[in-house]
Amino acid sequence: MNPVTGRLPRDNHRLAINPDPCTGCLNCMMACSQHRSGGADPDSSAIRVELEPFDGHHRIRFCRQCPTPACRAACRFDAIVAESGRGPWIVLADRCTGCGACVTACPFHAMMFSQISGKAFKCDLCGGSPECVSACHFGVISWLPPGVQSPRGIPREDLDPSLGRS
Amino acid sequence: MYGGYAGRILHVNLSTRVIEIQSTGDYLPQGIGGRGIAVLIALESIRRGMTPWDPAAPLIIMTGPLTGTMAPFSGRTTVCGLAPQGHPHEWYTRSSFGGHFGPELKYAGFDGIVLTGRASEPVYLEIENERVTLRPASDLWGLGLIESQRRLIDRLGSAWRIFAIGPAGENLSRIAVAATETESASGQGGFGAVMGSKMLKAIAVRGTGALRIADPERFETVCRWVREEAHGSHGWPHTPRLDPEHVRKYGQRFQACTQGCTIRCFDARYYRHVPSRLCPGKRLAGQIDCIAGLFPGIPGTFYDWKLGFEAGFEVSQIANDEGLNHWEILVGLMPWLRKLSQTGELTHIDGILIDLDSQQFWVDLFRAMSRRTSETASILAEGTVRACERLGIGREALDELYPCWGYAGHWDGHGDHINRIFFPFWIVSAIQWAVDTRDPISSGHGYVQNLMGWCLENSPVHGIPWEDIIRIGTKVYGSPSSVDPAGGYEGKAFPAYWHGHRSVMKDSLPVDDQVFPRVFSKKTPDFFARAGDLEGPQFEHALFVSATGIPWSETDFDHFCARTIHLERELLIRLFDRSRQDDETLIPYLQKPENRINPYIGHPMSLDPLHFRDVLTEYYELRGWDPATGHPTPRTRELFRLPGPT
Repeated sequence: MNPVTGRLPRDNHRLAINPDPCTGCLNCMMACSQHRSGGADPDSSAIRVELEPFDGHHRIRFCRQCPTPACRAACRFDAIVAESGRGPWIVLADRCTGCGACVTACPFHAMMFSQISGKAFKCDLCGGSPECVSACHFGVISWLPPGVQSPRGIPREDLDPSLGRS
Repeated sequence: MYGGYAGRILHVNLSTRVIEIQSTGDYLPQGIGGRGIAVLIALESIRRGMTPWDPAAPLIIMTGPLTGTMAPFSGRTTVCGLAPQGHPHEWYTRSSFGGHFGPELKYAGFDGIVLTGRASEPVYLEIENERVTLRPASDLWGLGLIESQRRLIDRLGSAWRIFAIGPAGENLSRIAVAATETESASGQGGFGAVMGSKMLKAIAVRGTGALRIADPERFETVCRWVREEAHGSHGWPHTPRLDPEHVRKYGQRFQACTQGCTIRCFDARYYRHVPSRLCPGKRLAGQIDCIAGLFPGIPGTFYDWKLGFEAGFEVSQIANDEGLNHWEILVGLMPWLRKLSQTGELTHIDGILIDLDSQQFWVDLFRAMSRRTSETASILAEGTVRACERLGIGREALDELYPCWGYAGHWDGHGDHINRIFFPFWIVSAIQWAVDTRDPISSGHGYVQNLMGWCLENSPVHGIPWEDIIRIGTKVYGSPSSVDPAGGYEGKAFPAYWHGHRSVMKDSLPVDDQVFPRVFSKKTPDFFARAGDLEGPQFEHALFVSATGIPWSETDFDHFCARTIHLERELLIRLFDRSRQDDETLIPYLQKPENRINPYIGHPMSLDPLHFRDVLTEYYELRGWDPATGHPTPRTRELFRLPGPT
């Protein structure tokens, strides 16, 4: 992290979401919760898929690891810090008072709150190998190097060019 | 409590409004979950002479230890009870559904719900973690299954999951489903009508709890192996792709028909914006699963009605909203009506011309059936088998389409023309049909679907040669004759026996029927499914043991499956005097020529009753049932600690 600007370096890998092919399987949430809690606990997942079964546009809430995050700016207790100085942003549980200011501040609704611990928590990118990425078999969640554009739309390999000509 | 379970079963008496909680531990470990626990509850509560409409008859909605965990393909729930669709008796049976309802129920702290009684007015059951409430549903009664869910979600919040019935269930149609989301239905059995008879419109659930996993490290590893090994659709080699035109025009994409699915499925597609034909300007969204792909009609096939995609899609969504059973409609009722129309036995239904090419005909018929607004449609709402009896017409057509038990053909080589199966493989289906209480392929896809999906006749590009299938089949079933396309009746009893156990596993954990058991694979050099230190057929056991911590060997697990089958048989004997004579009911249906010709035989085959009776005897002996009666022998009763006839 730049000690002057407080920004994360620009060469970090990042999590990218292409919601179009999301099937609503929730494997990302279950893998995250299994990793974080050792059990099946969707409320402990740091990524959330809000299912919309009647219109099919599932919404995915995930942390963008913003360079200058609103959650951090909202925290009066310096509980949100960049791990190892490079990121990702993490919540230090011993500093978090559970006031919820960060949860309210996040424009992406990606700061979570644990009813069990009474503290905020967020995606920590699983130490650089996000479980949600390996759990998603549909190209929705990608782990991208700097400069690589997020995919959009239905992946080309999912389309059968021999269909739809009639 | 073992891992994976929520630990409690909810008992709701709708007559007295008494809500009680039972420990799931009362049925563990021997019950496992789903179908396994349901039969133990059924044995305690279903009495001879009960009908599905009897308020005391339970409707049992059970998840299993894997529901709601990260186990792949595990978001399912099994519904059990006396089935209105069953014929000639309302047999005790099962019907599972997907979606996200079961996992949410687990997060709310319940492994299952047992419903008894009958409310005095329409109600819905609201479960929010510990808080369980019966609420009035008069404002929902009469609404469609999907519209009811929308109203409840508007009222309660988008995180709630709803399991509901449509007008068909309210009006006690024997082919009424109960379902969640747009198309995840407990379809066969008519359990929607059982909910309707109890005046229960819906169950709404929201849970925020967690499920403990006994051995997280091993469980995560096995989940990863299974996830990475599973591929293709239905356990088949081919990974289907989307139609670019439908993606552009209708917003088509793949859809998980159940939580935890990791494959691109041939069947499950979501459409985000399909123009309505009936309401110009309106756009429809919804899912097409399983047999619903037949609604548009397929030119050049047995199902050649000409609705086309847009009208067919709309009809399918209306069937969903009315709460009607797709399989019964598409594979049974409509081909039956077409035949009657052709023979002149029935050309109009209450004044409306039978015209399968007309969208309006389908829609009017569905609404008249589900709401019982006209006489003949009301009779059709009883299901095709009973309609045939009541109307006194169409017997010959019925006998072509319906094997037995009140359900239309399914992977048996005769009644349904959609599944590509030929002799001798439908002999295994025949045994499964004979000893079951519904179409057995609900959870018995493993044998015929795997073989037929992997052979080069049906998958010329992606399939594998018969030499490889026979090599793998010999490993799994112990005999090449079990999978030899040039074979006959030999070697067919064991696959029926083995897949019977797999069916119990799938309905009890529960896991997806189409995907398991993993047998064939394109990811291994010898085409036998394996991953990590497991072979494909071991996956379910490894998931079960690592999730629950129940220290069962594979033999123990197999013993549980066998015991569940014995207990279900015991229940049928108690309730209906089920016997070998009943099991042989389907023989005449199979004596007609098969639909598809085996290229290794060259002419259509039909069932030889003498040979089939020998195979059935072989099955009974494997199962430990008396070949004369079809009842568990004293030795079997002792070995499996069966409760015995009462």
